[in-house]
Amino acid sequence: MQKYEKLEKIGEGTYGTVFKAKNRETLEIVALKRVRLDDDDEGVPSSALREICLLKELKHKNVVRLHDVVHSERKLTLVFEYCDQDLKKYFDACNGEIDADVVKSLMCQLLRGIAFCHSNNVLHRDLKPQNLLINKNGELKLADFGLARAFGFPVRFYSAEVVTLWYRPPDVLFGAKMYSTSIDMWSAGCIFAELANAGRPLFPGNDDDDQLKRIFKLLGTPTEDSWPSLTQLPNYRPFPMYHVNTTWQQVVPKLNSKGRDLLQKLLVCYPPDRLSAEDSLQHPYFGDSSPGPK
Amino acid sequence: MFAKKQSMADPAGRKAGPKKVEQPLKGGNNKTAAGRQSRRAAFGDITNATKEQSIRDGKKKLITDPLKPKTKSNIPVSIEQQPSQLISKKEKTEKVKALHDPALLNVSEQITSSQESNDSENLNRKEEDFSFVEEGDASIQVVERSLLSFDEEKKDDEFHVAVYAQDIFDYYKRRELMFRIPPYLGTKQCHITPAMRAILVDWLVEIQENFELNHETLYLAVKLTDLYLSRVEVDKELLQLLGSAAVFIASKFDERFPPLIEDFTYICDNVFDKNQFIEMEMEVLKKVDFDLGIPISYRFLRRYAKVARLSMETLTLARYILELSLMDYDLVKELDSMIAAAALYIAMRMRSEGSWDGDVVKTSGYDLDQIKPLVPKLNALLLNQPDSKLKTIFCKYSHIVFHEVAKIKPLETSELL
Repeated sequence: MQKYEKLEKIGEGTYGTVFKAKNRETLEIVALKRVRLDDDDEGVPSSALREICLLKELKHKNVVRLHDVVHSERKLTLVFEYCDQDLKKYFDACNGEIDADVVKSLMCQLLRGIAFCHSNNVLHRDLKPQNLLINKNGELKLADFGLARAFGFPVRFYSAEVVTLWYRPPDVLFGAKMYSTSIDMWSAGCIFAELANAGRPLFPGNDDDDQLKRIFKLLGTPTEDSWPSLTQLPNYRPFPMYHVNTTWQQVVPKLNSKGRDLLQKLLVCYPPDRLSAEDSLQHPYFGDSSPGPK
Repeated sequence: MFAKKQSMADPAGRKAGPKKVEQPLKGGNNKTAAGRQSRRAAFGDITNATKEQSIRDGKKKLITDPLKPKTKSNIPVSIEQQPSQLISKKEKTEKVKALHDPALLNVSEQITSSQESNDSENLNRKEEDFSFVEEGDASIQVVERSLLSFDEEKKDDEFHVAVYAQDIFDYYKRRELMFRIPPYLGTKQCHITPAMRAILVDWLVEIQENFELNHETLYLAVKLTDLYLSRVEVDKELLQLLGSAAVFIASKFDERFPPLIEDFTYICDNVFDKNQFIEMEMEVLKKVDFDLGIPISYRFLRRYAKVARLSMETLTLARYILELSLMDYDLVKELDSMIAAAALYIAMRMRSEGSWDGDVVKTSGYDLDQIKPLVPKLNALLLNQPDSKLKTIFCKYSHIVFHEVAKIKPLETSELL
């Protein structure tokens, strides 16, 4: 790793420490994600293995670029393009105020990144502000593919232990193991609301039950009518029939009506009815500013 | 090679030694049902060393029959590669919609519940699972079928999943060219023979069964082994280490609960230690450049059979032929999409079901003349079965869960051409 000069520690990813570093030759600034390979471990962590494999094929401006993988004794270093901050830090720095155009731009980029992953058969499965990087040009990039996986055709059952609680869709909270691209779209909806509210999380639940309650209080408790086979989900349990008494205007006061419409179409409990990333990009909210997903 | 210490093909070696009993059962991530742990216990012992020990101890404990196919190995699984950006936006959108088909979601719940049910389920249940998954899939198959004959203008209707699927497989077909394996025995490899490779593959099939891995994992592991052998000279003593490391890597890529290193060192009778194993893993990953999205014949076959609307029996027979093909070094250089086509063609003829025309030609991109050159080689694998030593695959597919397809009498090669 003589090629890189370590500058500072940036943070911790799903499975390794991330450093800011400089390529000694090109002077390019990069992010190094170091995966320790301890004797006690099971070799290369499968999360790192999948992240590497998937990112080797995912080349898009809204997906963090993996430049290189370097193996040196007892560690594996993933060399990524460098981004100045993640969306979480961006929120912290914005003092409760994000310009409506910036919200739109970031949301558009998020959706483009997701659309690209989905059309390449990859589910991210852990979308949240901490995993969205923003560089100094305001470009947003999906990062941390440690929980990502290629999804099958047809889809098959996967782990239900995915997605950070606040961004986890109700079907997965009920233990659904067969899910598809809609899993990321719920997270995208949550992030959209958070963007619109300048960093205030939409559903900051304390546990699975609290998370579902918060969701149902806003969207109404789903029934077999609104969600066929709901009661068949592995961890289904009945919830009180909450009366919806919050308007979307109260939820995201700064978002315009088109934005609210998009948000409502993303935050749909029944997975098949959740808007896809591609369709979201065609939504009038983006108007002329969205030249499509690519 | 490992034949010295591990006579893998020796049927007697399938008896468990006392070590089996003492072996702590470590499941992958023990979050799953308890069944997972007990399944881990059912390693078929494949080593002479333990066999001798068990004889010395005067005990011959029969463990769970390692030949008994288990549910999971029957479940057809998914595509794990990442298809290209070549698919048009419209089609992708349609596909995403199709993935949300409530029918599929319903299927999932049932699969999930049966998967999690106790391991001691009887065979009937397993069989149900088997056919069930295939049926769940049938909804897609219908779509694929009709779409193949649809006009371009029909692309806007609901059933776009078909177009998308074909795009994926077209992409795989282009991508498989990136992973062509040149002949390597006698050139790159001086110490390894086709017979040694066949013993290795036979053993990998045993691992797949005993660890209840997806078939995709087996095929990917064989592919990784061949890729590595085509690039790096390997001492025959290390061939087994290479093969098991390849299974380990493939499991991490595809399985929800990959086996542990300890599981592998155990089945290798501790001839290799953990560090060697970890080193080999990294070595293989580096030599294949961490690129694990390799199209495999198993997926092509399933797609062809679905499009041709063939019965489960015929698909299973083709899978048997395809699995036999893994053992034949001469076929390593051939394209996976083509081997799959030839295997399916032979199965269709043997069962007098369907014919090699129409949609199956369209989806595979091969007409009969193109696949015929592979037919004699593949059919020879059937005609020469069972080899007295390497009969893991034959035994596996003689089981009722696999419709006993291995017992179907092969045709003369001349009848097939």
